Amino acid sequence: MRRLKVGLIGAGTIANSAHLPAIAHLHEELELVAVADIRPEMAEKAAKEYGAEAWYGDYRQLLARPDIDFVDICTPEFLHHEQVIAAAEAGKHIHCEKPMSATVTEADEMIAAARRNNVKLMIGHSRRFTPRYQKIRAAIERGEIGEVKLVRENERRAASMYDALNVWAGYWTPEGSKPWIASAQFTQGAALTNAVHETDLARWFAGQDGASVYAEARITNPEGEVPDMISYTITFQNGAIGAAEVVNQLPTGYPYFHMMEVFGSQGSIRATDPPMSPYEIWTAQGMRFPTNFALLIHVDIAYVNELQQFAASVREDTPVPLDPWEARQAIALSVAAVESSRSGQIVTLPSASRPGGAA
Amino acid sequence: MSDRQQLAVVGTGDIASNVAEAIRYSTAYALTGSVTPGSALPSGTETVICVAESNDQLTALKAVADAELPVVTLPLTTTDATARAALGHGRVVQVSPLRGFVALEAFRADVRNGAAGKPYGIFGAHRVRQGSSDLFEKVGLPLLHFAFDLFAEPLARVQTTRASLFAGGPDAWFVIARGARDLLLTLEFAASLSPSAPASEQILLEATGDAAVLRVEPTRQVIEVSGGTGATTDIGWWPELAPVFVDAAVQTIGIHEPEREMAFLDFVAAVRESAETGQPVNL
Repeated sequence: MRRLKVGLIGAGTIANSAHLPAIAHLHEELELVAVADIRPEMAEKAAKEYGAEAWYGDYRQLLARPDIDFVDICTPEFLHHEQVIAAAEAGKHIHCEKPMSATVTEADEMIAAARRNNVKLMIGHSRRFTPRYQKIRAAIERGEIGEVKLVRENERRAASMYDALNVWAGYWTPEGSKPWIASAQFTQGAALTNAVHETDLARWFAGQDGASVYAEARITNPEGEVPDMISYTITFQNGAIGAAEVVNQLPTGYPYFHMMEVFGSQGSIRATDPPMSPYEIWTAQGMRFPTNFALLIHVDIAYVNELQQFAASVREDTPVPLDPWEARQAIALSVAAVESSRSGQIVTLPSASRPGGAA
Repeated sequence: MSDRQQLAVVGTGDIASNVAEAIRYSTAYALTGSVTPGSALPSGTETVICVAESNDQLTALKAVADAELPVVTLPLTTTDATARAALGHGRVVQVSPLRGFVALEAFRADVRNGAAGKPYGIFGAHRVRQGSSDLFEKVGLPLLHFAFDLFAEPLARVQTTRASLFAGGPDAWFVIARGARDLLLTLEFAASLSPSAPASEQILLEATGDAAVLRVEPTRQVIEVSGGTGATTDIGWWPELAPVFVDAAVQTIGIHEPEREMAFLDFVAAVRESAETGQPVNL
């Protein structure tokens, strides 16, 4: 099997916690050859730690290398549009971290660029590659719970989640700005950064596109400029409901927690991180969670699956395992949630058609 | 006369008989009598526990109003001027029947004492079997009141998505409310459990804040038996709800805040209006 040469763009938190370990795990199939980051020291650190031969402070230098088979884009969503189109025009296949983009228009232009340049584009919605969620989808497809009527996933994260994992690489923080993930200049907040998982999963399990969305959001982090908590209700085109409450600034030690529930006409499925974490220590002072295994399991399996299957589609020139249209539709729901939370009104989603053929 | 508090029960049906039974066997209270809505109160009554439901509620409240006694009632199902007049006459306090769950009482006390720190939000879900009747009155109102009662923050906006998902009519309600100080309330009540679901109901409440997350699932404590004929769930060993509810009701009567009682009616009215129009309602 030919090892594919990978160039990674964006050596921040998600690269260090998920993508780089997954690429290392797939060392018999993938070879990391270069890393680019606007912070050259971060690119160098990642390159040296994971055995890449080169590092750059400008991603365009990485794209100019003729030996790279595909790029793995791990930057914040506001950069995806520019970088994906640049990569497509450089003839590189593209694996890009979710969320796909900051707007639906950007997503459409990214898909168009990939098709125009005949390169593969896949957005890394990691939960589509997580066994827990794949098993739920399989049970739905087998008809075990009948027609899906309601999908709810509540997600909880501690503010210190990455500290607990000891994989914190630091969010990019431009001079004079807050870290990008808390800055209104660079992100619209939780609706995109992580609730896009919930919009995507609800749509995947319901098998429907959204008709309307209502959301309320708030800022709980005193240092934040964008909402880090959101609650929304999606009404799908067939009347089914998708709902979520996502909270990202919980106290230190709170486990990374998901409660996924799917109710169908003939049954239901419930999958939570049981009971809250698989590892608890009880002392006279109470209970604590020394390490968050839920996330570790997620990283170890999902990102490996995701990158491995994308690499196979590049190697064998087959359709990518997750069509970028799916990510585009998740963005449409998340952006509608942002709009609703800002206006206090229900947002109706325009109908949209998947362009013919897979990218 | 006994120094035990003299309680009368107003209502019919299982709840009324369970509450009367709990008082009868209590060492703290004495039962003066159990009467149907609209009937005169037994003599010697000091406090009225009104567990009349739906249309009987206002009849019951009207009948006891002249006695000028403290009255604890289940959350009112109507929110019109008549209901407001009944609520505003004398000393009437609404109490959620969910307060019969010991775990929910502990959760409520902790949340109200600030255990979550600066509050972020309240999530609540109460699911019952598909096809259950009177969902709003029997499941929705208790959840709405329990959640409303957890915090003092006035509500600023409410949106309800009411859906017909399982049995033909409206059987799922999704309420998102925003407090004046940004607390987010996310409530779901639905007749969504399949006939084969192991438990007949599922209740989950969660309070999030900067100091702690409090999560309570009182219906989780079940005995599950998996045998050759499938899985069964036994909840027959659960403590009776009525004695805890009576304690909660008697404690609550000491906290009479007429404005909060009316504010709850405003909340319920907004939930209903939003469900009808499909649009958010500003309070």
